[in-house]
Amino acid sequence: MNTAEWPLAVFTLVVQMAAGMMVLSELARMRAGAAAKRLFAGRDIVCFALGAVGMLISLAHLGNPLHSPFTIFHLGQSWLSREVLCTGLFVATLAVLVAVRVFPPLTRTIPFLARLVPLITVLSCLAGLATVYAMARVYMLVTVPAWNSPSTLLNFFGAAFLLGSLGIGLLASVNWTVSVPADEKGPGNWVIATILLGLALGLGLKFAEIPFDLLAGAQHNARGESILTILSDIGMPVFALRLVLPVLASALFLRVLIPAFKRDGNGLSAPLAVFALFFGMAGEFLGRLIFYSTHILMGL
Amino acid sequence: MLKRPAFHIDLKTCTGCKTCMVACKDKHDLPEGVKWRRVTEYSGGNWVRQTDGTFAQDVFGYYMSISCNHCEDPICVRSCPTTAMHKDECGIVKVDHAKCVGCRYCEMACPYRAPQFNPQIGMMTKCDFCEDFQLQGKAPACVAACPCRSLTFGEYDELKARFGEATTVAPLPEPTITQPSLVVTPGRTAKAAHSDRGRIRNPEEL
Repeated sequence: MNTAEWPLAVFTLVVQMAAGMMVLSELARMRAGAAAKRLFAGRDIVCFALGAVGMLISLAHLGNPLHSPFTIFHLGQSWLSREVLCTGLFVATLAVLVAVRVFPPLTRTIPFLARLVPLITVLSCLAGLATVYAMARVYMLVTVPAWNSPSTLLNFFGAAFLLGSLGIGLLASVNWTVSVPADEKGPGNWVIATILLGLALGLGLKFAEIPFDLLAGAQHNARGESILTILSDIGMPVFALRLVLPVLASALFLRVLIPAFKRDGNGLSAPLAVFALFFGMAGEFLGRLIFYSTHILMGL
Repeated sequence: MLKRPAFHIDLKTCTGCKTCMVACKDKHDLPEGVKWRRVTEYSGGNWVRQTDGTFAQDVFGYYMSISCNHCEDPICVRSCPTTAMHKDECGIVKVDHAKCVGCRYCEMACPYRAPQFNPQIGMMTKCDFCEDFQLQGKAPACVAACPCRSLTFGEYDELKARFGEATTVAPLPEPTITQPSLVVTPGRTAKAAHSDRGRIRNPEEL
């Protein structure tokens, strides 16, 4: 397995998770209003931390990180340049949102900033989605047929919604446990339904990817390398674990959400949500390392 | 200097001695693992049933010496996020070390595996067509070293007129992807680029 690409695996996953968290929480907030706001407190800080840590870790992949400012010089042709720009915009918008939350006097000093917050939040969500798209396009190289298929898009957007729903679910459950008054009955159907929808979408995209991978699986290059030979080298138990972990994470997460949905007073269980996110992240990390192992270049 | 510098390889005469590879490493003092020119051993074949019910073998094998092909539409240049990978006015694809970030994306994209990461400097390196030798009126080191005279270099159009255009030989990729400045004289057993008949037998050397 290509473990050398761990910085790229971590970078892509944490940024995708942050993008998923922003989009899903904003969708929930649009319908649920104030109740959602309280459940998603600290979201901007968590997403900014994920984005910033991801960007810092991505530097470990570079041979000469001091030249990284030059990476936005080729926006006209290079998807990698576009990815760097989109990620930068995403993290920058999150930084502004964090600054407004952490330093409230900022909005008194610059009054129009408060009015801009909803717009910056929407921009942040769009930048997050654009980042996930650009990330997928980086790997859709015409010379790497196994990657140059819709499976890469499904894989990356699937990870964004799966990890995003697990992440925002964990945040909501922690906020529920810590700050929501005991007499309040449930976190609101719209919030739960949106998180469930994100989870279903994420898992659905992940499974929709499988037929495309199977189609590409038999194709081999002149070295005789194919997805099937690489999976057989990695070992089927590892591949099976990669498939089982997201399902396990989703099952645990449903155990967190369904009682809340029924409004039976149990609320959201933070410890279970932690385990769900852990299993989800472990499965996606394993999957991303397997993805990098399937760099099957045509030609020599 | 040439306008569109190109290599020609004659598969009929190449014996796979790898002198070109060694000459390139020596001339550029390349560290372990960095190979600007590589020689591929491509072979295959099986038993084939004849019309009279007997079996005959169709085993084949040949060598393909490849460096950077200084393509007309280089995918490494298209992919590079910093514009460090560029094609200069002499048609040579080069790396600008003042910009290269060492992300290895060009290496990920090039179907000829021409850009090579040098861990000692943390940046990409590649064949520069021995530009210094050319300025002195000398042939590139690989061409000069070839004992069978299987490797030649020159203006792409002139090589094409002299040897004919054939870059669709396995294990090379489809030339439409990058339009390589490469002319190949196929041997008797050469297979088409999309052929599934053979395999590269020395991947660890490439």
